[in-house]
Amino acid sequence: MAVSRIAAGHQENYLKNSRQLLATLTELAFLVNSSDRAFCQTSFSNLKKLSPDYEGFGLIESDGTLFCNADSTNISVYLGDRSYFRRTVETKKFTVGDFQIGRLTRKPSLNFGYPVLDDHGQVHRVLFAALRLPLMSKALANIGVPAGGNVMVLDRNGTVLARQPDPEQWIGKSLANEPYVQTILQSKQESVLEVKEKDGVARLHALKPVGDTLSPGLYVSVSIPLAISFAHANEILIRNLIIMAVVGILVAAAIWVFASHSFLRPVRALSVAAKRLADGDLSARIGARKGAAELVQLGHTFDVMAERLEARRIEISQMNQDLERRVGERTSQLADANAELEAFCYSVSHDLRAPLRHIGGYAEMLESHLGKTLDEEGTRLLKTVESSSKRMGVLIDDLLQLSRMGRAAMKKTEVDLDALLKETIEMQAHSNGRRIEWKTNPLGKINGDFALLRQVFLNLISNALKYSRTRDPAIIEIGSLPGNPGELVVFIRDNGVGFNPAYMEKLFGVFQRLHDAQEFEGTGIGLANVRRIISRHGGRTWAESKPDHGATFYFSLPRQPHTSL
Amino acid sequence: MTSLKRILLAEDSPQDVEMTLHAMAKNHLANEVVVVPNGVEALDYLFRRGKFSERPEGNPVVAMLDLKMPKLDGLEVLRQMKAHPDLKRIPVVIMTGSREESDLVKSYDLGVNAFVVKPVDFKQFVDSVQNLSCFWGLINEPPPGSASAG
Repeated sequence: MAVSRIAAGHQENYLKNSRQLLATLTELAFLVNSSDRAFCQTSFSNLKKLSPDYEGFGLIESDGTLFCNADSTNISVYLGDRSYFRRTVETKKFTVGDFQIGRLTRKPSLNFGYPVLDDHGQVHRVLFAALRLPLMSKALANIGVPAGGNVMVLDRNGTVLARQPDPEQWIGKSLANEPYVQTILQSKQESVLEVKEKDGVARLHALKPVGDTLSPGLYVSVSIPLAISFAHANEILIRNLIIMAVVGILVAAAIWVFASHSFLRPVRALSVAAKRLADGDLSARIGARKGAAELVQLGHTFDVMAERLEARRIEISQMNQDLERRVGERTSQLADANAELEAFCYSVSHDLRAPLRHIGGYAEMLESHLGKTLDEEGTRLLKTVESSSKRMGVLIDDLLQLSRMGRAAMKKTEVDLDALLKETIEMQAHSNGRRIEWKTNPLGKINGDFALLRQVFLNLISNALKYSRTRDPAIIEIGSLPGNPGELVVFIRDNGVGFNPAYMEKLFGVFQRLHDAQEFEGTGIGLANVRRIISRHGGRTWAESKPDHGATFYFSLPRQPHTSL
Repeated sequence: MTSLKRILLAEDSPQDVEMTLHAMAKNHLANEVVVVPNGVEALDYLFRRGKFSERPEGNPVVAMLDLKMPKLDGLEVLRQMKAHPDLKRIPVVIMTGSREESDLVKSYDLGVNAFVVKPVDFKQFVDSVQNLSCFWGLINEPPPGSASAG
């Protein structure tokens, strides 16, 4: 597993540096109480050479003035306002500072403070170490954060200390205004949040405080795009939580190296447990251990975190099971609904048609029964009954066709639109002596259902013919436009009676008509069918017109194969 | 006119029966038409059992079966007829209110001799019935064992 390898690499790095550090730190007792500035400076200078991850070390007097540091004896610098200094003086404990630019080095660093106490337990001096920030980012570099995601280390103000990818652009930036950062800065609790960010990508943010639970020194944040986290909910989410944990532990370990003399054994136990955790053994625990209080605390924190990870994995797997069960339920509900619809259509076509046939039939039988005794008005009334029942029959047929069109499975092949167009025009060429000018332009090929697309052309071209029949000659033009990237837009333009553009959307509705049946026959199902077919192909339909100035109908089709719903 | 041949009409809708008989009468077809309202009675008639146990011998020259009927539908009557050695040669016409692809396929799979969608338009309906009864009642030579009522 990639994560464990990376984690192991980190450990090696940090531990190697830590051992070197330790060798020098044994001299600390003499050093920190020393009044010999030259000795102090040399010692820190040596320490710095041995610790490439650190920008520098130094001692600050309790009044905030620098006693000595690794770089220079020129120490007329006041550091009493630095956050790590103030916190160390305040808490008398090891503390982590905020993001800062070194006053002497001019470089970004994260500083740690360690109290040097006098015999009365008062802070006599503050020992500090400045961790190089770019190195911290480098340490994060090999972590396999999924594309679109990131891993960051933030200080307690929400400023970025380290980040992958693009550390240079982010180090020193404050994210304090990001809601997900605010959440953890306020709660100081490990949290997992879904956030839709400015770039439009919804991400899952997992944040974890490092260090003291009441006043964490650092926060580690891992973000992954939601699309990825849902696709592999179990695997990636857990893995990232583990990455986060391991990074957190390692950063913490690096800090503790500085803070504790008897660190090696407990840290190794931590490392082993972290590795087991990263390998997927969520039962890894440190257990209570004797040693430096801080390490026992860290070990405890680790165990708590491992508990939570394990609990979360169980939770996710339950959620997944629940999700699967619900998908199953919905699928069967959908199948039921579809079967019901099928039965409904069957019933409509059989049972509703019979009485219609009877109405028409009995009207005619009555007509022939009455024979010559039937007067003109009687005949007219009976004819109306007959024609209405016929029209109802046509409406039922159209409705059923629309319903079938929406449900029939699509058979996608490569469709030659030019051949299809030619065939459609030939089918409709019996124009009863009308003069029709056809203007056709090449359309090309597209992936789609041949029968359904033929219906589209048939409906649109017969419409164009119908509404231009008062024109001599009727001019019907078919062509394509570029449209959006990855789609083909086809238009069918006529010089017919047109329509009021205000009714454009109505036009594509079921049984919507803009002309009465005396003027232009039809039931108003053709364009509804067109819209349905095109949308099943993943395309759009629209139209343009001015009354009496012809109409243009457009539809788009994706050039890439579209997965039908 | 040749001998009059018996037609079996299984149809549950009295209106459809009346319209069918009206159309046949208009054509001056004088075939005897036995009308039953469901599939059970159709089979009773064919097997000469129940209330038809006393009926004269001989099979109808054609059985016109409505697809959707109470108790036993047209497809089931068709299936039983085609499975029985004495009835399997009787021509069967399935009549239905709408053209449903699945019904069409099932009917032909069961060996139907004709499949007719009753037109909504009455004139066309009359034409269909007249053509059907004329073809099966007069023109077509029925299998041996068909009854002659004349």
